[in-house]
Amino acid sequence: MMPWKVSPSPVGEYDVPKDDEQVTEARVKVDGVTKVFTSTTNGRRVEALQEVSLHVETGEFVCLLGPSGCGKSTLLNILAGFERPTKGEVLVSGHRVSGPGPDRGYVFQEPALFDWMSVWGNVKFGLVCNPDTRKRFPDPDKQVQQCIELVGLKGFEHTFPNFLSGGMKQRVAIARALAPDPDMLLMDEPFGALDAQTRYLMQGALLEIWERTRKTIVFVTHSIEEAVFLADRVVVMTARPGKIKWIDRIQVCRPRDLSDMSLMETRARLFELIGTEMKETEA
Amino acid sequence: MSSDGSLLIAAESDLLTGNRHTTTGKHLFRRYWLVIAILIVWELAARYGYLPRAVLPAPSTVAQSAASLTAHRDPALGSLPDHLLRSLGRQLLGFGLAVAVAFPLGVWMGMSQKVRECLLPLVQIFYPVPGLAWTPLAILWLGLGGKTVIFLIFIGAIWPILYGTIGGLQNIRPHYGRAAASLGATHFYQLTRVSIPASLSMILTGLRLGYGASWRTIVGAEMIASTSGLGYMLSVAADTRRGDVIVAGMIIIGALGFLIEYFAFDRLDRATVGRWGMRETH
Amino acid sequence: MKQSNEEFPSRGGPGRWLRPALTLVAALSLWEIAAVLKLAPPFLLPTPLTVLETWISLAKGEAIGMAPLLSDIWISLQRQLIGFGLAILIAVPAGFFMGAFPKATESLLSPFRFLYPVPTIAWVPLTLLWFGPGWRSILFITFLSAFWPAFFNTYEGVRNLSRLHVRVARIFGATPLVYFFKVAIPGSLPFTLTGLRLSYGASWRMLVAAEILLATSGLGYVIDQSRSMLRTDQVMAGIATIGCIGYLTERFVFDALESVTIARWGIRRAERR
Repeated sequence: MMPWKVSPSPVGEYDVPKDDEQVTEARVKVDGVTKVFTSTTNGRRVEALQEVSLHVETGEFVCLLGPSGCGKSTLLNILAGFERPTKGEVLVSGHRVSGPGPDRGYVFQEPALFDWMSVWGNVKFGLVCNPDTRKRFPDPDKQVQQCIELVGLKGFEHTFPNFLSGGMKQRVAIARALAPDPDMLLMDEPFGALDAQTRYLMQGALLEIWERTRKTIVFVTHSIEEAVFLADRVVVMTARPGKIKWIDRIQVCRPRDLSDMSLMETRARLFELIGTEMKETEA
Repeated sequence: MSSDGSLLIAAESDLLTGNRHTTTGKHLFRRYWLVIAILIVWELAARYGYLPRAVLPAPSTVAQSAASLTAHRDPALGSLPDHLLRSLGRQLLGFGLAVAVAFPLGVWMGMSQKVRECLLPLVQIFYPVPGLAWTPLAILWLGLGGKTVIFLIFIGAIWPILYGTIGGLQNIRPHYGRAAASLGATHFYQLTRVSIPASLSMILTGLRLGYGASWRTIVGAEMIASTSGLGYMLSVAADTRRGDVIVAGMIIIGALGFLIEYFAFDRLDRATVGRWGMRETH
Repeated sequence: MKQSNEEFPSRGGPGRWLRPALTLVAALSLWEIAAVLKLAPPFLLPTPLTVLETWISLAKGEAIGMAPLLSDIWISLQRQLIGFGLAILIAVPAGFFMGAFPKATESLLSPFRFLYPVPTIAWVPLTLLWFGPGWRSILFITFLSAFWPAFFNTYEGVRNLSRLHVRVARIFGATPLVYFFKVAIPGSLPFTLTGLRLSYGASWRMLVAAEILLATSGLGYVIDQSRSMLRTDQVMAGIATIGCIGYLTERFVFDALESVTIARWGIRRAERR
């Protein structure tokens, strides 16, 4: 018999702060975002997100968790600027998001590395690809070297991506996204395509990188274990149309032991929350 | 588009260059004994009169004629090196022009849907017309001679190059573009450092096919519309019933095509797509 | 080569026809203006309308000294079909056989390796020597040009058979005969069809060229004759016809063939990127 109860109202224990004073420091402010996709072939409308509001503090590690099709990737893409919300707005560092940019680094599920450039070339790309970034980094090589070492790939600078393992490719992707010193990192199930052992190693590596750089991270996943292992806060989303169902704050110190009692409780709670949502999607 | 052409090219380079791992003597013999046997039978049959000269002269005669045409200038047939250089020169010019026009146009059409919608139907109309079918029109407009030949090569080669470039740019995986955009790349940077390298595989296929087309066209064009070049030499040899020169010419043409394919395109392929590990193995 | 718009996707909707149509109209207008302005003498640059009229009169057989266009088209098509048919009759089984049993037939491949790089058109003089001008030479050339794509694509198709399929056949102890007919051939059908498609295109191209050089009838002959009579409008009409036939056959015959076989089985066309 569980000592807690899932509240029927959408948001759980730790509400979105309603007081504006408290949120001026927030790195990311998602305000009433709704996203509707209209199919061009048959005009059908799909409501992916419905009135989603969220705040992310600077240096926080937030996980978006939910069943497939719940809109978590869509929300991430809206944060990144790849999609525009149908209603509502998103502010990052006080500026409205209108398109992609190097202030929000993005790591895809597939590494999306440029196969025709070496590791060095890939990481350097973000530093030389537009005049503003060029001005910010008059000596890009130093930054490139630092980022490559940060992700633990020293010695592989001149290897080409197709000759790297999956885990190594994702490390390069992370280095590449970090090179232009973004305000935050957006990660869309980056370890989903890796095998279990590599995934475990990569999670540890990511936490190390995060401890050293203290970037704000928004991480999409459908793995409860991953969310509990990594995040400061876990945002549980409902099935389509996606809304925020529950936000869980995890205050256990890292590195976390998943067999810890409170973490197991959290996992069970999240499992039940997701379970009901998954039944929705199956229906 | 690339589906069709690149398969043939894969077959071609694989079969022509053979499996590089098995070039030991025994393997070479097992592979080529039939060719050697045919050559021997051919030579003997010609020597002993079983093969009339008009049908197929002996390999030795062929070699001899080739040598003499290289050394001396025959009044009717001309000089072999002369013809060779002319053909090569024209082909390079024609092919170079084709690349210079088709590649930028292809990039433009590949990047912009509007332009593509406008121009693609025109391309699709002209594409099925074989290069050599333009010959009568070309002769009417440009007369006989080098200009016509170069024009025909140009017309023959642009379509595959166009298709290859457009197809390559259209079929880039979308996350390349997103990755570049999220890193803030300017349009120019994205085009030159991301889009074009990502489509290089298909572009190279298009170039190869275009080159093949130009090679085929030049021989025919020179037969019909020119008074110099390898094709012309072949047609004169046909008129004067010089089977040996014909066969020599055929071998040279074949060898030339193969060598350029191997030394130019294979190298290019290996230095770019191969080095990056982007080629799919078959 | 694929020509349908599937490969180059564009938006749906009515606007899709607008742009291409406008471009065509623009192109035709430019042509008309150039002809009317006499940028080149009228016998070198006829107006589009003239070409159309000429085409119609050619079709009806009203051109001086020439048979109706349709009979020439028919002759050309006949030649191509026979040459193409013969070629695939030999090339496809040979490709299957040599692809399915590569070790055994390795040496047979070597003459092909040497002959293939010689472009078919370079064979014309030799063919002339052997068969003289006329339909035999044209048939041989058409045959030759159709042979290579059909053979090599079939060959590669069999060689590229999924290893898994081959292993399954071996596990079940399939005899070579069964393996050949029930696994190798159906499994490589996409490649073979691609080869057939390429063969058809290649033989059409070569046929026209051969007819220009060697023939006394057929489409190639028509445009060459028109050239010597300085009838540019006829030449253009002829070229347009050649292009149309090439396009139509490829579109309708082969797309249809594919939809009946491999598309029905759910296999995609052999794609290599």
